[in-house]
Amino acid sequence: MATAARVLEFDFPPISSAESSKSALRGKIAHMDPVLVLVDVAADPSLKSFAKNERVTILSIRTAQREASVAYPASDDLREVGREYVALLHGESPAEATRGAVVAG
Amino acid sequence: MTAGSVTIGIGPVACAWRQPLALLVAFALAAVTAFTVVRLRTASTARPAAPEFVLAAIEAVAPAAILCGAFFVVYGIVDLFVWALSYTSLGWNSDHEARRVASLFALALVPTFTYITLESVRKKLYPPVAGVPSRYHAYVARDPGRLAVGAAFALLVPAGAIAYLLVAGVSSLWAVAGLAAYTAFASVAASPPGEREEPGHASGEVVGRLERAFAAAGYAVVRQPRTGEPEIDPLLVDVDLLAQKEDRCVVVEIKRGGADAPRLA
Repeated sequence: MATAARVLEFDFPPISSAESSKSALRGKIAHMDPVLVLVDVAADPSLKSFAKNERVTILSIRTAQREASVAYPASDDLREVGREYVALLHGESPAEATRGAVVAG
Repeated sequence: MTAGSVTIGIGPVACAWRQPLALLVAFALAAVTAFTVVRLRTASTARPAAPEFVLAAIEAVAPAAILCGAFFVVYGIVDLFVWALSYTSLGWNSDHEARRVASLFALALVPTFTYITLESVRKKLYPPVAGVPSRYHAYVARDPGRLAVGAAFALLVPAGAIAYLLVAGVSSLWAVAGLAAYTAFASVAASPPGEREEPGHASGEVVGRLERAFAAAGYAVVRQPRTGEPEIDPLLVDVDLLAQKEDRCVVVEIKRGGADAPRLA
């Protein structure tokens, strides 16, 4: 994933989905960031070290607690994504979510 | 290749019907279906080698052999029906009529089974990732001897048995049923085992929810991104989502806790 991000940052061809040719991404890209989403699993020390060194953002989601956290490095945009994810667990919009919490790791 | 496999699979029906021409009809129906309906190669996948095609042919025999099962079901129904009518003065031969109707029914299903088989073969021979070899590649490289034995038992033996039954005029339903069962068993036994899902891989529900979360945060999202370029696509195999917002893009891989994974407190 980290290698894919580096390659795509250097060369960003039109990208479509393997499932459907309808959706496609194209255009100029200034930043390509790798994001690892961990659902109900903890990052071990080696993964944390790898994430710091490779600048991989980790978005951790705890389904039971309805919480999400962003780390290495924290990103406002991804906090918003975490909030939306938690809201979807509730089945409601983020503004209505009462328990959904996103914290910086 | 698939047309040949389908013909071997349905061969016992031709023996039961005592009609060698049924084999030609089955082959023609399968070939026409293959050429008109299914587009096989959709990405710049590594070109499969001949042994990989042989393995695909072995695996394609089993679905067609199921048609023999359909033959026996229809045979039983028609035989019973004609037997009931035998009390009238129509003078039909129940066995003869049942074989004919059941064979025609099985032949009518050939295009459908060919289509299903081709869809399965297409995904395995040509994965939707440019530059990635087929599912059969590693299996063939690991054990070529087993491939040769599998081809002999799953393709050559059934083909030889069909030819023998037709030439010798043997149309016993026991012989036909035995051959069909053997063909299906040999095909399944000689095929590579199914791939186990990678532990920790996210379910479609989780990926879909995250896709909607990115979209709600203003990103354009593509699930299972592919470029069609063999130099890049192998790097994207484990990438679940690619999300773009203005000139910023994120490559997303999702890992989910398995049964033995440490849970977040």
